[in-house]
Amino acid sequence: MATLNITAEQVQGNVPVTILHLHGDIDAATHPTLTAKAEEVVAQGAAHLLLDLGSVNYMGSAGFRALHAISNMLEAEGSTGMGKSKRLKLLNPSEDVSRVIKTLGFDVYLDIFQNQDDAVRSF
Amino acid sequence: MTGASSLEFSTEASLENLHECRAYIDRTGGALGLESPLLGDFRLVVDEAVTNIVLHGYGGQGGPVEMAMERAGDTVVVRIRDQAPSFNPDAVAEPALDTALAQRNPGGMGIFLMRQMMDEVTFQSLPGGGNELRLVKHLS
Repeated sequence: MATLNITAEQVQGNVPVTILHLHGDIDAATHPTLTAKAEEVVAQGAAHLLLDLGSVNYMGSAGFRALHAISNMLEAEGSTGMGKSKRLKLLNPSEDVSRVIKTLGFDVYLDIFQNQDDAVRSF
Repeated sequence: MTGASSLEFSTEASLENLHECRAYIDRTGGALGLESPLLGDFRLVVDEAVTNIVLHGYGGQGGPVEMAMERAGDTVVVRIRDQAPSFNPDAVAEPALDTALAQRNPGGMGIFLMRQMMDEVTFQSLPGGGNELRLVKHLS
């Protein structure tokens, strides 16, 4: 079975930002791990999440189900607009993952950064 | 799914075995001369196909899955067989990409990705029972 390990880091930008560093594969077997970790940090007060995908080897549509769920978790009031999320952003996806993000249209909803400092400052 | 009709790789339909299916594609695709990003596309569509077999075909109850990846010239074909009830892919709605994220139905992304990334996607009921999915990509 594929594994997905996640570590959380709290950093201070314009607002407190929680970075989830993901290591492994995000598939239908492992995506509940991501959703559960996001639920845990949100329950502890996290309001701005940056998902570090730099060490994610594989991400299929199950990963996007998790992103959808996390976005809904953070946007408690249920944003109805097409603008990008101000609370959930992505860092450093691989070329393969980036292609799937674009194919599924998630680049319309989520900002994608290559540099952690730029990402943190953007919140 | 025995004897002459068996395909090269077989496993139990389980989410825990998705990783094995992707590893088969990496191994076989590499031996057939495929490189990134095409190899990544096949890894993705096979993962999506097997996920659908596990969750929707067998309803999480398990069953056999077989697959083979072959190349003839510039055409690469992956065949995936299962023994689940017949499946109508046209009954699956495509994701609405022009809708706000909160309003999007998170389902249907797997078949959508297969159709976006492959040149041909065909589902066929087999005469002896079960289904065969063919995923075809022309390299030129």
